[in-house]
Amino acid sequence: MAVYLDNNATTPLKPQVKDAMVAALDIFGNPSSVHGDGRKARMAVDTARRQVASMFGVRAEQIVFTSGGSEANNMALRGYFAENPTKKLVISAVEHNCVYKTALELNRLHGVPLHILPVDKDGIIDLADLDDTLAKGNVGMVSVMHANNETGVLQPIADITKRVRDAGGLMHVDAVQSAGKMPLSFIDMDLDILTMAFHKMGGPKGVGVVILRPDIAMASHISGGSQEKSRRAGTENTIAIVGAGACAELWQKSVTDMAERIEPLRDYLEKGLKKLANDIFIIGETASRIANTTNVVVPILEGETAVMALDLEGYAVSTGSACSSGRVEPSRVILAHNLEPELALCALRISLGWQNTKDDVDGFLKAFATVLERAKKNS
Amino acid sequence: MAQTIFDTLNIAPLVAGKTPAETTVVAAMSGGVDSSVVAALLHRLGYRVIGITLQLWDYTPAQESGETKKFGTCCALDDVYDAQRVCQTIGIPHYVLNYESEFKDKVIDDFVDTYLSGATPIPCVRCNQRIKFDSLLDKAKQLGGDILVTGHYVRKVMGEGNLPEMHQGLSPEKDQSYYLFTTTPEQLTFSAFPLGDLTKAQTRELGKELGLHVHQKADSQDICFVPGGDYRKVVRKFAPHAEETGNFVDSTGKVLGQHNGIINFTVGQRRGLGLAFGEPMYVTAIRPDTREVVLGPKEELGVKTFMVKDATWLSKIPSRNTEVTVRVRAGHLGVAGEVEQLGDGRLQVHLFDPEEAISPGQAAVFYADKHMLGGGWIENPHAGKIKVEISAT
Repeated sequence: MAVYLDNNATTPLKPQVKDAMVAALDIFGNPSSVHGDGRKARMAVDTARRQVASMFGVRAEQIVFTSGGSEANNMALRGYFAENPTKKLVISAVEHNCVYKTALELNRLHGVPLHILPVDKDGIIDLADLDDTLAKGNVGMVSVMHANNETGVLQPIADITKRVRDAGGLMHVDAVQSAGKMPLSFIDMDLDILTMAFHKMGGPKGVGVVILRPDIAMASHISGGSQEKSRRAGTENTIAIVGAGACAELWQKSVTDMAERIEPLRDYLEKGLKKLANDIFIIGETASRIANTTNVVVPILEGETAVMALDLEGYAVSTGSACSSGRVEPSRVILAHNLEPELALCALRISLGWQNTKDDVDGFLKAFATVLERAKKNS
Repeated sequence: MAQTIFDTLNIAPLVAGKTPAETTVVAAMSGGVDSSVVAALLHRLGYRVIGITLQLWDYTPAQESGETKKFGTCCALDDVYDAQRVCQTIGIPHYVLNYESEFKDKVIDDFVDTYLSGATPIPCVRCNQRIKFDSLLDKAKQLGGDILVTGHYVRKVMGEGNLPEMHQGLSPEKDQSYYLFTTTPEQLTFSAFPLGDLTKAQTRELGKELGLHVHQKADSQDICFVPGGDYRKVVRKFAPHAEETGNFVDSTGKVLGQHNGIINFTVGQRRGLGLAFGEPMYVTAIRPDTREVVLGPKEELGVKTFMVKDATWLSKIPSRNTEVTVRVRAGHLGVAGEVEQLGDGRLQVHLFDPEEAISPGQAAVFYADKHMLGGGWIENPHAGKIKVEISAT
């Protein structure tokens, strides 16, 4: 069995979540139906809605279930700009493609004014640039990811939100990579919209949420029925939603695991990596990061090759976003950190998860040393 | 149980001194039957096999004209899926490497350039030389591979001083040594070709025996990035000026008519000239600088001496008075001749008898019987020093 260290791509299902989903397999009714089978399904979906709401400290009606993080982010941007196409959209250069490409398309096809914020070498957005663009007025929405999927670096959301508030814009945070890795309070963060997905935190694939401030109305980006209070058409994915609820509830019982167990393990991993070669460095090492992510650059070892060689040694890691793997072009996100393309090609992401142990990390370090030795020999 | 083809095979250890279980083999897999059989066969023999497929060219319609991409039109991707499926079926790891930009720079640009210089390219050799046996071989080493295997029908034979030699495949109609003439001794040392002793029919039988879904898959007929064989479309795309009209002339320079661009012609060509003459006329030369296509009767086609550039040798360079067999295109059986070294990788080839249709841009590959010695690229004697630019005029 391979050791799985690619938890920012997706995670294995937690056993308790799986049990809840298996139990829900017999709930076949359509939650919109009036009859008993429908009511049973409605009950399951709304129980999950309360569990998820509790995780983020919001009311159940603020939760809109979607098919995952990509749809949630599409909904946040498209839903808002369908009604406000002349307002400005501000994103950062390191957003995930489901935000980045959606923004480019809104700009190209619908004329939405778009500003892309540059980032520094740690991947943190340039607040002065944000101030400049906000000062020019007409701000509709600022959409910034909380934690970067490739590096784990956290954006200073409080600083950003305050500025967006003052400028009268809406604040959307893509929390796909931070949800489940640190406590998030929608109210304390003073957000308008938060999006996340459950498969990054031990939950099932195919379910995510958009959390909306209660006074924000958003039309469905999918035409059809009036599910999710007319905010997202389509019959609910009951089983996955039950899994999401179970996952959210479980998270609240183990909320400190990431900080107390995974973060020291990640630090141990990075210490071990840096011992292997002098020119190894970690992107965003001194920046504030989520607990589980390491993006290491080994100038002698191409990330793509490392991923294959480590897979052969029984360790699953990646070069960055799983969605962009299989390309030799360096990652757009890593390039935005002002890294030279040759070095950006050498970025390798190791992301720990709830199931990982110190043995996993020790084994990985050993395998990595083998692969690195081979690269030295053949270079 | 009846004896099967599998039982009759006798494959020597790929790496001397190592058992199959100790040998890591990187199999270059195209998704076709040949390379699939190689991977599955070696896996069955107990080798640790890693499958690698190169994604070189995405020829969906969007590439051609900016149309919307359609599903079901991309054969290249189907081949990648076939290779993936074979590896999943037999239970070996498989990786896809995207070399599209390298392929464009190192193979397609050369293909276009060659046509523009009045010659006829062989992109498969460039791909073997610059992608498969360069980038891929390097990757194979990085992955801990001991040897790279392909589905080519050639044989690796240990020769004098225990140095490996490349010989033609046993099945003459499938021999692919012509396409591998640029292989270097270092590359050959790190490579193996398990199908060299087999016929295509035997390979298919093996594929069936090994339970591979591709065992009846048709052979590829076209250049991979020229589906349907219309190479002009590709050249036109990268060099829109490539079809400037020019004159047909005879060997004395007399104008015989107009043609629709030099890229439409290959030395030796008879059909598709669009002109009628009293006797059959052939393209005998192409002059890119004046855009002239020279026509002549069959007797003007014969050539005894021609020039070759960028020669590479996989064995000792034959001396001036050594008779070698010269093959001037794929599928050519070869004619007798001698090779004269001019330095800087240039050669003058002296054939004993005139040979028709020596096409610039093709390779001249030299053999001592079945032993492939090396080869080079046939020069266009009319290309002069004019540099043809790939850009719209």
